[in-house]
Amino acid sequence: MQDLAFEKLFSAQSYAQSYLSALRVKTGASNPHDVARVAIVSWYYCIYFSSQASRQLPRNQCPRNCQTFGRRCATRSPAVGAATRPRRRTWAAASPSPYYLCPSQWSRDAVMKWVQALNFEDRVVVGSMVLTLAGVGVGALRAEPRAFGLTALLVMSLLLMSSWLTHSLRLSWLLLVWADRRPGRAVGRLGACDVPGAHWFTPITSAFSCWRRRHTCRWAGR
Amino acid sequence: MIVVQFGYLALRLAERWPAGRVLAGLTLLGLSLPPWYEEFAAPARAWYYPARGWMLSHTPVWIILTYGGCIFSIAVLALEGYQPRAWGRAVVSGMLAGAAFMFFGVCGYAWLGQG
Repeated sequence: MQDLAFEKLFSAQSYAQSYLSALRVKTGASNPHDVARVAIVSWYYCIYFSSQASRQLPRNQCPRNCQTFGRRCATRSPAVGAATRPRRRTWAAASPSPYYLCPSQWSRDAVMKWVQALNFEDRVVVGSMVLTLAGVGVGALRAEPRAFGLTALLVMSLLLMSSWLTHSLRLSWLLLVWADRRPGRAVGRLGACDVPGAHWFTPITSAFSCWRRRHTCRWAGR
Repeated sequence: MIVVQFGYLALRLAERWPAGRVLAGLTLLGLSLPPWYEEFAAPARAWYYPARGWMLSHTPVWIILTYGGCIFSIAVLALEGYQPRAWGRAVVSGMLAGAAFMFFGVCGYAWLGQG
């Protein structure tokens, strides 16, 4: 056997054992997702070097690189077509993400990471927006105008309570900006009619409300 | 409510993004999200807009543009006006927000609402 091939045999064998050992260690990791990509690479190289070492002995040849070795595996191996070519150039191989083998897992983890990054105030505000859309959507589906007022009251209660509970300066400041005729108007919408005088809490915003109301029509009987 | 919701989003996003991107993103969100309130009002039999000028389903286009302008002004006022415990600035910002709502409403109606 040539010296180069002999050297390659032992180096491949030691690499294979090294990667096998790394794989054994990774099975004890608390979160398998953190080491998934490294484990896959280790698994690949473990198989690659094991196969390379096993092919040195009968043929007394040393493939110079992965591509040559892969080409030989693909053309001369008894299991032709059963194995993936080494270092295959695909989007998956080029992706730095450890989750590229499972996009659904990736998206779920991304959403979870995003949700975990939200603090309590963020969740309240995002929740209030979802509640608003859901409330008016239900009102539209059931042809029930009072759903608008009920939704507004629920969202207002949610924002006021969370501001009170969290002592959030941002929410308190914004609630003061918003504190105009809205509470009275929301109560009014429970009956789909505005409370008389509720518009005059702040004259300017009421002007906009009156302006917009001039261009809307009420349903008959309301 | 949209003052609190979108003002908070503006303040929170400004921690990560530059102000221009926050304003652009929130204005686009304002053009797409709050008009659903008006859109759902007609099937809920709460109120409706008579078909005059450009309409997108049940909602006039000038109302959609007005919402975009309102959200833009809310974001600007939140970014420029917010200081912790500066309650006087909050009152002034509220009045300026009302004036901006009126301004965008009148401009939108004058431009597209008369049909």
